[in-house]
Amino acid sequence: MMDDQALVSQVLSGDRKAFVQLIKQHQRLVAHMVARLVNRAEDREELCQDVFLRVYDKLGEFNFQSKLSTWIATIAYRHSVNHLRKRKMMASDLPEEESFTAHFVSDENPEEELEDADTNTLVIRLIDQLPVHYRAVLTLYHVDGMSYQEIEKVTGMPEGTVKNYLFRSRQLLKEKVKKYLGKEEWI
Amino acid sequence: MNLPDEELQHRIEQHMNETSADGLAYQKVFDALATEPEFRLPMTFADKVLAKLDRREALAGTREMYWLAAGIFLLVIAALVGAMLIGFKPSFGIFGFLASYPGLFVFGILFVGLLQWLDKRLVKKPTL
Repeated sequence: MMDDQALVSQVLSGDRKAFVQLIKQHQRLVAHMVARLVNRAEDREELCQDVFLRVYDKLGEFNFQSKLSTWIATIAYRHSVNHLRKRKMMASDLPEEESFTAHFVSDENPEEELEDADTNTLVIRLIDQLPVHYRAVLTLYHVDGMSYQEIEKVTGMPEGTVKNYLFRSRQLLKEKVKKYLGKEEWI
Repeated sequence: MNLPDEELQHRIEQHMNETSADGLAYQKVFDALATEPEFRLPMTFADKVLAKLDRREALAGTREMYWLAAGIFLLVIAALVGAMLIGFKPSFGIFGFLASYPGLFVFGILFVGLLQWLDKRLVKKPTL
C-alpha cells in the first residue's frame, strides 16, 4: 500500500487512479461516520460521495500534521453534522443532561418493539437515539479504533470532553441494557 | 462489591471478566459498540465519485462560458452607450495604419490566443 505522502502527491498531480485508491482505502471509515450520524438511509451514499469531492477539493491544503485518515474523518464528521443542521435534524447538539438521561433511561420501553431482537440489535438501535456527538465519539473509538487525541482532532472537542462523552454514553447504554436484561430474566 | 462505573468500563476494556449485573450489561454494550454499522457502500462507489467529479467540472466549464458571454455582451452594450453619450464618431486612423501591416495584426491575435491556451493547459490544470 502506498504511503499517505506519495498517494496525496499523485492525486494532486492529477492521477485519477491514485484518487480511486484513496477512496477505496478510506470509504469504510467515511461510511461508518456517515451511517452512525445520519439516520436517513437515502441520504447516506450521496453524502459519502460529497465527502470525497470535498477531500479532492481540499487535498492541496492537507499539511500532513495528522494521518490522512484522521483528516478525512474530520471532513466526514463536519459534513455529516452540517447536513443534519441543514435538515434541522439536530434540534440541539446536546440535550439538557438531566432531562435527556431521565428520558433515555425511562421506563417507557422501546425494547418492547424489539421483542425478537437480541441485545446487540437493541444496543445498536439505542446508539441511534443518542445525541449526535456521542454517536461520533463512540464510532471513532470503538469501530475505527482511534485514540483520544485523534478523536480530538476529528471532532474539535477537548480530550476531556471526548473521554466524558465516551463514559456517559456507555453508562447510558448500560443502564438501558441492564433494565432489558433484568426483564428478560423475569420472562 | 459494586465497582464504580469508570472502573468497570476500564476493566471491560482490558477484557477482564465481570460477573456483576453492571459488568455483564457493560460487556454487552462494548460488544455491540464494536460492531460495524450495517451500511455498505456499493462496489461502484469510487466510479460514481469520479463521474460526479467529471459532471461538476463540465458544469463549471459551461458556467465559465456563460459568464464570458455575459461579460462580452455587457462590454459591447457599455461601449455603445458610452459612444452615444459622448457622440463618438468612428475614425479609422489607427486601423488604417494596421491595414498596412496585416501580418503583424494576425500575429498579434495568434500570439494572444497562444498565451491563453498555454495558461489554461500548463498553469491552471494540476491544482485541485
